[in-house]
Amino acid sequence: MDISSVELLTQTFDNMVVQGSYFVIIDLEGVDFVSSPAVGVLMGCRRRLIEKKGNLVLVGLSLHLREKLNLMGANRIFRYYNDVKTVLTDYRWEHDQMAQKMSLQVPANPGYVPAIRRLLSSVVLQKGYNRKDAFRIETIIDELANNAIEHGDHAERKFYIDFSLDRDKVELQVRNLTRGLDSSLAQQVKQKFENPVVDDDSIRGRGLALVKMLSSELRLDIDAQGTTVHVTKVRED
Amino acid sequence: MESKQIKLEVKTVEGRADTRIVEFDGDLDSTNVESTLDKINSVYGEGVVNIIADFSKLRYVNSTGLGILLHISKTAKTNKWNFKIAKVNDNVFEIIEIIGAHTLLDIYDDIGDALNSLN
Repeated sequence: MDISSVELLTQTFDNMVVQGSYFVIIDLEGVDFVSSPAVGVLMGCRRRLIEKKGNLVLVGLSLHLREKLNLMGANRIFRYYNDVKTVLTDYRWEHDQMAQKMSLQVPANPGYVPAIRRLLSSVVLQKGYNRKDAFRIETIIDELANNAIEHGDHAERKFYIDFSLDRDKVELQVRNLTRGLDSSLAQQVKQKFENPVVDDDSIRGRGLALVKMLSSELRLDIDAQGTTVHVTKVRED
Repeated sequence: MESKQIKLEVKTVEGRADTRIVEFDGDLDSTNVESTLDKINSVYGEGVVNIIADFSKLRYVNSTGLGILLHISKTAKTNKWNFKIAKVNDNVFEIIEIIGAHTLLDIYDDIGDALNSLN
């Protein structure tokens, strides 16, 4: 893309903006030189698209081209992606509120909990949530998983986590199997859930109170097969 | 599956044979509260009556971990010993605060302040 391509670039962009295409992916595969006027055009175009709440990103850069562009400071302006598919995934995340989902079936052994809570907390962090939110999510998962293990059927020896994350919130369901919980016992569990009482002398029993404070929404469902805790945690920043 | 998640290092304090600094490194959670309690209990005694828990490397604490800290603190008070905590990170402090444990635990900004508070 030398100086002669500037006019063609400018025209192409003008047409796209007129047609209402505000999200542009520039595929630079096979391009080994971009002149600084051409970079200038790309920057100008990106600015116009951002004003229209769109964006312009670059894909398919060779290592060599990437180095050259970085020398011109382009890496501070443009996002580089490896391929178009990654751009689209990111776009859907940002603009279509597409949630990332994960389901886990975990052995009911407390020894697995640290790895699980760190896994989900790093997913949250990697998706751009701040450290404080990631830490709170880690705490919520830890407490609910430990409760699920402690109060689940001992014969079953596993519990389930459904995890869903979009740009604005994390939704979490932790389910264990508690067959044979009769209705009066279920009522008791529900009451304890609604009003967790903390005994100052006890080492345990503070988890649910903590989850309650850290969650935006918290709900308990008991059916014939098991107990499910639903949590919504809204992103803070 | 045995996984400790935490390392406790006991350090002596110059000029104070009755005091130890215990550095907590890692995560204090349901997998290691018992071993942590055993370790702390083994530090008290034989003339050691003060423990300062250095939390600068404590990344994480859960409700059971806090339960054990409250238990240690209470036992210390009953025996007229000291259990003081210093250098708590923001995330851990938030958990302590939500549980309401900040009024029950002796917490200091740094080790020096905790040491100076000993008689």
